[in-house]
Amino acid sequence: MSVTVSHNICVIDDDEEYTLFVRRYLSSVGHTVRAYTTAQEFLADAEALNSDIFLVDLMLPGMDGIDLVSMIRANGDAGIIVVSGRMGADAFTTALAAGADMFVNKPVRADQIAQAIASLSRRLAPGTARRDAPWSLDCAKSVLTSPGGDEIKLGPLEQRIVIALAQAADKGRSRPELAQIAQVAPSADDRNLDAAMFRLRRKIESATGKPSPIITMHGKGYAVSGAIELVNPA
Amino acid sequence: MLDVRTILWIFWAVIISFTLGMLLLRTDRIWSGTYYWIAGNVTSMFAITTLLWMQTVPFSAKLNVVPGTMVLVASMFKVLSLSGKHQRARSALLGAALVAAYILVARTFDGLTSVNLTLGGAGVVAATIAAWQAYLCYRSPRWRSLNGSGLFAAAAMVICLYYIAAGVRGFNVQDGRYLFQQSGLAQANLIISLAYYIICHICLIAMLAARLSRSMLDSQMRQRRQINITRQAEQHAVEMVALADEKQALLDVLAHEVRQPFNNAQAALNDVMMTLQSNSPDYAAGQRLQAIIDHIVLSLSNAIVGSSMLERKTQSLMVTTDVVAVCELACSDMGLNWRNQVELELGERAIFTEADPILLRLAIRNLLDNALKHSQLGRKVKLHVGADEALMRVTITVTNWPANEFAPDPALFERGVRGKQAAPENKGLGLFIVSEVALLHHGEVQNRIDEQGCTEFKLLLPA
Repeated sequence: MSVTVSHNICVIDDDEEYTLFVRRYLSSVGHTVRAYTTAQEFLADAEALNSDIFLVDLMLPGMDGIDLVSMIRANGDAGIIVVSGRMGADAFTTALAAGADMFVNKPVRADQIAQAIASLSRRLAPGTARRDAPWSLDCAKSVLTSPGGDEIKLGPLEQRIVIALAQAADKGRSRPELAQIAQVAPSADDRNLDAAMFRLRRKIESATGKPSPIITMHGKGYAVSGAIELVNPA
Repeated sequence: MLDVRTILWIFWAVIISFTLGMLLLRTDRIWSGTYYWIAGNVTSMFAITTLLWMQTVPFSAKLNVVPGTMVLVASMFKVLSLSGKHQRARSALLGAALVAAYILVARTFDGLTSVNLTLGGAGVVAATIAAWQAYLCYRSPRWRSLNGSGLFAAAAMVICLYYIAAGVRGFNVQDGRYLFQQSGLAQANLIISLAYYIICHICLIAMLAARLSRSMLDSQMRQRRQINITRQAEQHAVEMVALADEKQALLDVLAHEVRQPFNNAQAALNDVMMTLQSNSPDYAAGQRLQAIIDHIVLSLSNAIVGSSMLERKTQSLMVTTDVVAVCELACSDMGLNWRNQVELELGERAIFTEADPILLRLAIRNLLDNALKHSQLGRKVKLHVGADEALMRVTITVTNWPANEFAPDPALFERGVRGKQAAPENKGLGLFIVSEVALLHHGEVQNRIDEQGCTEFKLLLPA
């Protein structure tokens, strides 16, 4: 098996044996791999931070893996996969909060790691902009632009929904409120609104391959996960 | 000495006072016999009014039976009030029979014999009823050993004896009006009856007060017992939680201790297999070994996640999750020898939803494992990921050609329920975890036979 896209991978895991096997496997499928067994070793190599994807263990001697993840994230937008034997929601939460993109539990085979890298690299495909770059909506042209530059042509109802949510920012709007502002035809249990949201999200995700900026607040309504800039508002 | 009229007025006043007192004290709240007792008092008042009226208006011998009957009825009401709820009907029947017998005998045989059955009979029946009251106060569990019950019983017995004596004397009295007119016997009768009324009312109030205090004590005792039980239950719950936490911690340690070597074993096996030809016997043996390790890893994950799910302690972390990527990872979780048997169909380029990727991956892994175990040899298992616009759900569908007859059954998702063809060591955790993961995500899981006869398990998640 060989990969279609080769990446510079950096493995940081205190288990030397495991690191060796993973390094060998990933190299054999076409990636360029650097491996370190301590955080200090990793930090001492100036080139290491230039890797595309990092595989980080949470339990490292001398430095907590979470701190290392935060540090790597602060340095750039590279993909970070946490590969850890620690289970439970707390490990998962802290790793994602620190900036990890994916969490994989040990035991894990080297080919599963290769699969995780492939899935992540698809999300981090060329054209992806900075993680904190905003979405924007050109109200005159009815075009929603993703941080990666993908353009999605919106219908009138879809545009009204996006504008209503963008104006509410992260506070979100309740379903009846959103249905009223966006002038969605009234229906039992706001089904028309839910259907419109469902189609809008699928449209955005299909066009960009990225998560839609619209999120559901269970039992409350809808909100946007980040800022959406409104260009040429009416 | 007081004349009969004065005594009757005093009697009247005493009865009214006690009756009003009982009504104001609302004794009905603690005693179901209150209204029978008051009915007895009211009947007594009518009897006294009749006697007062007889003092001024001459009446015929035929009416002699009226005041006596009223006194007996009043006494019977007292018996009913002292009886328990369940005995009242029987007591009422017996009392009615006694009073009816008295009227019948007095009205039928009075005048035919030299014996005055109206006076004598009334005395005997009144003595019987008084003895009955004494028995109820002294023996009934409702009143026994309460303050005042002994005195009440003693007073009732004294009046019983007096009524017997008066009754015996009454048999020899030729004038039926003798008892209701001014005479020493009539005065004595009324004074003794008045004294009995006063004593029995005072005793009754004492008995009710004692009953109230006993019921309060009982209530306090019940409350204390309830508090103790609650405390014990809370303590037990705390102990159980601590025990469950210890068990979970041990399970986590054990899992970690076992999982770490497996991690290295898997990596080492990966490494070895890279050096082998894919058609060599060693490669096939390596694949089998890898399948065994994969199965152990899945069982470990199921045991860890399943144990916390059984205790409803699973903490899920909902993040925006790429369902397609999770399905790809779940496919890669299958051993090398199984992986080629799984066909991943993507309905869309990317589908995101709020989900816990680790739990979702384990659920899909279990669905695939279940399908592969029960699939026809050589037939592929299909994993389809899509979005159902009609249902507004993300759908993850696993379809396989069943090796054996399959009947859709919601019970398959219950804990400990296994398919008919399942291996005996299988604990039925896999599909239970799928169902619990669906619930945690506000979704659902369905199983059915599709149009082609394939087994279909569908996980529906809110989009």
